[in-house]
Amino acid sequence: MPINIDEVIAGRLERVAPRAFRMFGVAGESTLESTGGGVQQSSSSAGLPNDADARAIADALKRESGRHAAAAGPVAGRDLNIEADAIAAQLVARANEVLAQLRAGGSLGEVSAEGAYALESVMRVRGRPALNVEGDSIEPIDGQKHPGSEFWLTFRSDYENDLVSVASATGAVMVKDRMGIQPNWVQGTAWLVKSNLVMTNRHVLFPPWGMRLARRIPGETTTARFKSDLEVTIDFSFDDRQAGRALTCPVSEVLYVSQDADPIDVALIRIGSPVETAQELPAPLSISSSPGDYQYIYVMGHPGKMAKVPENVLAVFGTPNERKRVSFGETMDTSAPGPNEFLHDASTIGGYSGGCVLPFLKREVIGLHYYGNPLSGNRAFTAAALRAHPVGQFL
Amino acid sequence: MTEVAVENADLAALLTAWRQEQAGQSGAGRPVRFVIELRQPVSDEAIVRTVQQALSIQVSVFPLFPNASDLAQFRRLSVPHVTRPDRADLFEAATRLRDLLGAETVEPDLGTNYFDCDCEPPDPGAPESADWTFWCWADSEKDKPADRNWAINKSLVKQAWELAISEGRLAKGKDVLVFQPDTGVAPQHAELPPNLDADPRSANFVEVGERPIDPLRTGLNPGHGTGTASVVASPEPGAMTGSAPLATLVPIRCTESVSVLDQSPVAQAVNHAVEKGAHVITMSLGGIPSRALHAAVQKAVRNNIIVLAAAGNCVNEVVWPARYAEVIALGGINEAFKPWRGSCFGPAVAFSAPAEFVLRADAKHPSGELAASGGQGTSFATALTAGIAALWLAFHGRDALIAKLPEGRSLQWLFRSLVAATAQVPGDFDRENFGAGIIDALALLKADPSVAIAYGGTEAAAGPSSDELKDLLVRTFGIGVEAVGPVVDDRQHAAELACAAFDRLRAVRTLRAHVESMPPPLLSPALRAKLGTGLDILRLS
Repeated sequence: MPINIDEVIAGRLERVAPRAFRMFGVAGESTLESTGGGVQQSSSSAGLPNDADARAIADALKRESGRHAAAAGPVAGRDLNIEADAIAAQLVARANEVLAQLRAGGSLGEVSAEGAYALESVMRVRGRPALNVEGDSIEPIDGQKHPGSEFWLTFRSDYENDLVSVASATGAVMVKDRMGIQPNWVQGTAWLVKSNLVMTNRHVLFPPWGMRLARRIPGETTTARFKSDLEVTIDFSFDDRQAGRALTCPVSEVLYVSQDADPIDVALIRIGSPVETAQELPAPLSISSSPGDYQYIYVMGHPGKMAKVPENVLAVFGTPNERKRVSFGETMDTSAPGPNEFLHDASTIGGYSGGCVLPFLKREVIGLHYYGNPLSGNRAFTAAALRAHPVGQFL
Repeated sequence: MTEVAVENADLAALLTAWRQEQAGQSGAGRPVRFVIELRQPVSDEAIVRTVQQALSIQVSVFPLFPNASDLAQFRRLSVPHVTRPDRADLFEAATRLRDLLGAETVEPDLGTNYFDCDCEPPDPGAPESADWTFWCWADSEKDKPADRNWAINKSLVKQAWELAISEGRLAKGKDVLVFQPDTGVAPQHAELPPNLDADPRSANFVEVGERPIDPLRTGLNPGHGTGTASVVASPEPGAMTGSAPLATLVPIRCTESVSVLDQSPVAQAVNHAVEKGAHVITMSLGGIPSRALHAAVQKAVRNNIIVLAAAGNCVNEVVWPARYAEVIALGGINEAFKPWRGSCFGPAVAFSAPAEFVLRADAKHPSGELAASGGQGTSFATALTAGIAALWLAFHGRDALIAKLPEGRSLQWLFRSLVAATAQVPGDFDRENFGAGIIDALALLKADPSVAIAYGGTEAAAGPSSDELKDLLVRTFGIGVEAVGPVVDDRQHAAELACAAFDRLRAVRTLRAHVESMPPPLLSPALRAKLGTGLDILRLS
């Protein structure tokens, strides 16, 4: 029996890299269909990384370098277009090398960070847009800026009101250094679960590297106090709207934060009334109480600043500016990471930690995003896991 | 001692919590510990009184080195029945104690994790994998060495044994005392000399007063000390042999895991080795600088002990104590004489030795076919070299070598110079980052020590320790580090700045660096205030 090399590749990738498998594993599956009642196999183009991907990556890089050149002036002796083409070609070549490595028996753990983000670069320009939130509207999908994202046109227009509503209940965990040394920064995302309560990740409070926002109270395993040299607020208005509304709430208490060894990475923060007293907070988001089998989802988040932004991030997010975005994607093999989690492939980077995951069809939170992995998929805790967890008593 | 203003709100919160814990004796685990370096003699009772009066917490103070009058400035302050807070809080408390006591420095025991070991990798898709240093470990199948015992063979260890035997000299490290600060040993392992833990010169600074037995607790990379001990002194015959099978290996348990390292017990271990007459000290561990550890290794070198330390694993830059100029830092290479991919590197490396699939005792298998297998890390380069140092001392006679030393020179200097002069240097060897070359035991023994002595050269060392820190900051963060000069010169902040550098170094080559934004570094308010605008250069990227 002749060996179908595509099946071999697919089998290998399915085992080691579900997200890459979806994108690259089955040749010829290209389904950029409209959503108008048709059956969609996938929102992504498929096939191995190719010249079209390189062009899309290069276009994104050129847009970014153009923006920087416009702001900073021309760069002497450099042709940014040529550089972008070269970087894009290298990324695509590297992505193919990684796939070849996996095909030859390599495991996911052996893929270098550089290889992983080359693969990610290609995946991200294949229809995983991260759209700016602009106050009461969502940035339109643009064929040039969001290559391969035509699939999402109808989602964006049909569900814009829901998207805006969910965005308004989502805020940036904004940190101000009371000592006046560091400029303000966004450490993650949080969203209203009650009128005075936001949910985020434990690691937004206690990042593995970097500034911890709170300290645990000795003897009390699931509470913490905010540090006094930092001023933490939840900023619900930190988006791309030109004439920004202001809606900022001080934090008052860490009501609950899961223990360090708890696999559920969650925290609840009590917030005070908006600093802008004339403003009212939007309606909180409800957490789904029924299991659902949703394919198309979105994640709200605040892409954090990176001192050195990899090209894969540039290609989708531009230069991350911490302002609110909504990323479109799909759920993946829901059983893969364990019973408490599901995988999704919406474009996320640091700063999305603590963001909510919702389906398009219902204004209900189905997951708490907590970790992004370029190859195996991004991870979120299920609504059911959150409800069954001790944190559920506060919901 | 100086009066200090009321502490800031965060420190006040920490102290309040400690008082409550102490009142209820609810704090679990070991005490939180600091090492005080006094500027002038003060009694322990006076220190206790001052701290208790000013901060209203219960503390105890003892000499860190009870029998060493020359190191009496180092005192250990313990805060019992409290929970260890996060790093920034510990440093804030340490700075407060320093100011309160008018001490030179006060450094907390931190439990740093800047020394990776070849333990089981996490699930590739799991969040833990974001911090896994996957790039630093060779593949056990694809990179498997052609010769299982290549480390011994390519270092020409057996030829060195034969040379000694043929010349009627002491061979195989006989009668040389190699002290080994590590996790302790599994004393019944078939590949170790019997009853190592019963040596009256051995010690345990973790479970004080107990034998240096590694309890092989899971989750702590158990058995590290068993592996490194075997690389020095595993007897013949067996599934493996150490480079000095007739040397006397003296284990000192000074840490539960080399991946979670407190510096002060390591300092105690080094001083203990000096007091017990060590000839070689081998340290397959590392982390941040420590004033007490530095003083202890300086004392060891002054006492003509050969002091070796691993350059480190998976953080690129050489860790301490290897980074101290007085210490011989070992880089790692593989069977092809190329760098082991996880080896730390840089000008601080003196020379290199095998570090990739070095045959070592596997504590998980006390006997049988699996009792020895290939281990990775500069730990093994260090242990192998410690054995070779023992071969050299036995061959020439330690007393004879010392008698030949010129004024102001140490045995450490002579050993370092001779290894460098006789090292194997492949054509493309990166001498800038991996030292003078790859150790050659046979050439080392053959070399006439008088030649090195006549040649001269400088005794490495003895610059101010802040130079090594400045070097780390410059190499880690690049230009602009001049802005932190005054802070670097204040020794109080050396350990914390080193943490910021190693955090960055560890992060930049992990997956996390590519998928996560990085918040500002975790630094105490005291250091942040001193850094001021210089802080921005320490941002993680």
